[in-house]
Amino acid sequence: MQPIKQRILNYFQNNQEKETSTSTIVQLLYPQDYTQAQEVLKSPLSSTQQQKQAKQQLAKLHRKVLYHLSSLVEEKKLLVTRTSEKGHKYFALLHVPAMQSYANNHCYYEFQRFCAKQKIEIVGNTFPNTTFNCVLINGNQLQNKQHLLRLITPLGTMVNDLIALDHAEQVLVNPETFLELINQISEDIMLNLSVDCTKPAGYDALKVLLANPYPQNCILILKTTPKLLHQEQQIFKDVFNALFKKKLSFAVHNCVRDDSPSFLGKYGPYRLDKKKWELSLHKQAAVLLIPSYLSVRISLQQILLHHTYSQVREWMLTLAHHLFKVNYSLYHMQHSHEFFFRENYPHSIETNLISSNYLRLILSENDANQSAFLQQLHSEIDSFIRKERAIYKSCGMPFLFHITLAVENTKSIDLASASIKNIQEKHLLHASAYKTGLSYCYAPTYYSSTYLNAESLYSTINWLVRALPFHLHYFKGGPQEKNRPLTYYLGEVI
Amino acid sequence: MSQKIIKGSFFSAWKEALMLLKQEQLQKDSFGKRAYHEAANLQVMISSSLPPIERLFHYFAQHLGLVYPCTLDLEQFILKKTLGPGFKYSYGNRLFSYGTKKLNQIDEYVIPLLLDNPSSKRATAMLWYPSVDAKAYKQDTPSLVLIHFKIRNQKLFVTAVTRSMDFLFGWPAHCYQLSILQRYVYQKVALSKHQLALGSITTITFSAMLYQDHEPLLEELFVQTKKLAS
Repeated sequence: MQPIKQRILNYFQNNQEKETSTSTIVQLLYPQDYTQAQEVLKSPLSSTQQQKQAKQQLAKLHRKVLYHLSSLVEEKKLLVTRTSEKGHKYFALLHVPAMQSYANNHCYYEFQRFCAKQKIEIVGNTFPNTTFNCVLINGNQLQNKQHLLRLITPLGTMVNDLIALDHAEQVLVNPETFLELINQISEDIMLNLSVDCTKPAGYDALKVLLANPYPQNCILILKTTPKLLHQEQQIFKDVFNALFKKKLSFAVHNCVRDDSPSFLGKYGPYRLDKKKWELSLHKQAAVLLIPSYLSVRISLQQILLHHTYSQVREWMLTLAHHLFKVNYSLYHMQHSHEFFFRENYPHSIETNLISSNYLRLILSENDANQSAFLQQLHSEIDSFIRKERAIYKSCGMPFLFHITLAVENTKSIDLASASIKNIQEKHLLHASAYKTGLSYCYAPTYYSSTYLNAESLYSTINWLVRALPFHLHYFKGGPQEKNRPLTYYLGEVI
Repeated sequence: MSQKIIKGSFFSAWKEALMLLKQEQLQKDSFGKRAYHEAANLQVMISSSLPPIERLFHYFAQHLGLVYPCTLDLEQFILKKTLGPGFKYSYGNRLFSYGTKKLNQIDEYVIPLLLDNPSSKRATAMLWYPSVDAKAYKQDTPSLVLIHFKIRNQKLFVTAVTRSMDFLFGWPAHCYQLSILQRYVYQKVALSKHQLALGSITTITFSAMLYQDHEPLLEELFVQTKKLAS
């Protein structure tokens, strides 16, 4: 391209949003000639002949520039935006962008740098190739066993924590289905099977699950109510006893407190927002849902040793900003997730209806200010999300973005030695938060260092489900080997 | 009753629309949470220059500490055919590749129509689909309902109808997206119509809104628009 044309193009590229007259370009390219001619025209001392020459000079410069401008218009690099009453043309850059990939989007690396600087751990993902934290399959929407296996098969490389099957009783009445399902899941991925014990099919599924080999990466979630626990005492005694004897991990989900799906991965608990879950049910959403793309883990214990709550709050809000930008880029990536969904789940456009980013906090012990901090953080993050959604929605871009606060459980409770008072004290902070309506994602964890008989096991679990305000209680099993030391179990004994 | 504004530049039209909205009566949304001034059937016409959205949203980001879409995001949203998994709908998908039959209203209808018959009055693309959007429980439906393209006096004009619009953040972003779309159609039609230039962009909004909690921003914003426009 000729240098003069390149100069003109550079000017328009640096002033993309402006329309520019021919005179401005003349002034840019021939400043001396233009200024001289203008001075003559404006000067009261110049003669008629001088003024005529100045006008001719300006006209000549205009013609030169117009030649190049018209050439750029023909090459579809510029366009004529308007012509003034005197016939002067205005030009602008013809701005039609090429579709760009976000593959190397700088916001990922900004997010990583921010997390590294503040010692925040990004859980499960290594940018720019991202995977999902977890996937939820809605058993009620499954047609048959083959449907389930077709959904699970492509997920192997795309999930880094957990595959959860809700309403597992719909497909797991057959032992073969259970065994085929287990074979599809690799050992480093958790599998949650949520069985609805309020339905008759739930008990049939339980028989199958308890009668067959049960991998260590599998957690059985029993959805029940306190009333049902009481009515079907003998059944639950047998179930709890069988699970404890086999040292299998299981959880009890109190549907009265919250019946939206909750499950447990290796990175911590996941919990669906009740309203979003009800909306997805109302719309008979896709069979496959993604409750979480990204999680970060923050140890308040460590951070508060050197920083104030106020500083931490600022960082959390900055983190929310970064998460928002990364989520947006993630959804726009030309490869990875979009391609994956289009190829494998072409009808599951609404899989992200309930998706959330998890902020997993490790709290410090015996800090009375934490409750107020969590309350304030929750409310500020909520406010940020609402404002961002409103902005993007008003720009015609209804982007789904959520953040869920989750509290990690660093200490398990030994049911064999803990008293009711111990258990209540241990959960004081969380129980009071739940009672005031601040319900973050939290699942108390228990184990037993010695054998508990069926009666006492049942009574303990029954009391926990009724008395504590949490909807999910996790009972950690252990390995099959004997003589496992106590220190194997998570955390310390209280 | 329709209210009409005709202004040449983006900033002057926007400022006048916001001042007009500020005079309107306050309404409250169905949930009673946010109050807003509303004008019915507001028509605004701007020149074909690309709205300086980057500077404007940078100003908002600095003053309000929130994240705003960049020009690349807006361009992708109006031109990208596929619907990303994080979105309930997208304008690009509705315009270029809608439904199982991947209906492309722009490349396969509007552009060929204008090439064949430059004076056509039928070059309209719809973004509102009753079979999908006309559901009482659905809250996220396209604001932009239809876009009409017309060539008159060797200029390509665009008229867009929106059912509701937040005039502080939403209208500038929509004007930018309409400008991008106008240039997209212009580029393809102008291949054989050398004399074609860009005409104005008109938005007709059934329910133009200015939220009450945004009002404190306006005074400072009007002072800044001179700097932003220069």
